[in-house]
Amino acid sequence: MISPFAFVTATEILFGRGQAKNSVKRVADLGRRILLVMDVMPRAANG
Amino acid sequence: MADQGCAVTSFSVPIEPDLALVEQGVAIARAAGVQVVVALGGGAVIDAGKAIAALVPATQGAIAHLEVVGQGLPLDHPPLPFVAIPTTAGTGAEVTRNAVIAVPEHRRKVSLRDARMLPVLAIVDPALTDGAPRDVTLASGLDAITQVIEPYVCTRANPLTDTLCRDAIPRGLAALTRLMQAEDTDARDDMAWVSLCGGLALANSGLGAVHGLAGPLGGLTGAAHGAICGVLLPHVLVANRDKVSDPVLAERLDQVGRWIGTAFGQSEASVVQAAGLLADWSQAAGLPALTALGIDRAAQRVAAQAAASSSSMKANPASLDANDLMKLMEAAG
Repeated sequence: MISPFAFVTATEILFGRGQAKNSVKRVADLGRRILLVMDVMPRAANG
Repeated sequence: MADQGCAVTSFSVPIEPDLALVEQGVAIARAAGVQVVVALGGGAVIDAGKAIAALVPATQGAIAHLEVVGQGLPLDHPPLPFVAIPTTAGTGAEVTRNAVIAVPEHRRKVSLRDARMLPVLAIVDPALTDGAPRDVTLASGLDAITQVIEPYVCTRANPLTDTLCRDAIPRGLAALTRLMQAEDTDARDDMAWVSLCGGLALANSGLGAVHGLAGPLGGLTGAAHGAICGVLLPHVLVANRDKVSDPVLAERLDQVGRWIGTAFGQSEASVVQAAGLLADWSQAAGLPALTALGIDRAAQRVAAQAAASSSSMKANPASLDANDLMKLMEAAG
């Protein structure tokens, strides 16, 4: 018997090389005024 | 982003986020009238961004919503849309609904948690982890592996998290050992996948004694979360196998032992043998002992008491009291 359970996660997951670079418009569509949170010396988003 | 007509305000997170840093980010976001928060970085950056997105619309201060040290009140307004883009393979925070925040005056790390804090978009691009420093790769990688092992052997595992963990545990062990030998694109891809699976699994089943201890130890000492998890994992596996009474969970622990043994050429290893192999390999790869991370016996005693009643411990496969936890930390150096 399988016990009842729930599973929740992010609304959308994009996985794979190149997804960061290809998702700029997708992010922009969420809002035009963006807070970009990053570390002090962010690694280049060159994927 | 500017090419898309966006106005971008930057906010740096140089350390694991504490309450003051999060409140500073909230103030900056409100002043800029931001509509969406994007976090690009490791687990600390993603937790900070997630907390800021949650608190910008809130009418009460952050402390009111924090677990343990605050009132743990639910958010009174939905968070801003939040996008998580991890640049390390470790925490899986891109798919979880909590943010871990340090509260220095309480010497604790606690969660801001709300079901609505799940990101609207998680972008897991393994290329962003290419060339990460060896020590970061090791510590974050061991955190990721811990986060697929603990949900698999915990009391709240379910068929979906099991499916993820059964694939991710051996895959992660193989990938991390390859990455400690040389840079490897396929191994980076695998570790990004394992980290994602860890976030999905922990958010939907549970964790265990490693994370039950890592929270208080990190809050008390500031030691890096991934390194703490990596050091503790072998010793928690041994303690759990010794104390577990549920035969199903005992077999799961034995299976984890065989997966670890296989990664080090001993496919029939017992949990004790496998834990020894993992501890020896981690040390040889450069992982410090617990005391070398700045975690002395006094901190261990405080953490053992705090962890015994932590939420992570509730799903641990065996009942471990503060004395058991103290013994395993002593074994971890």
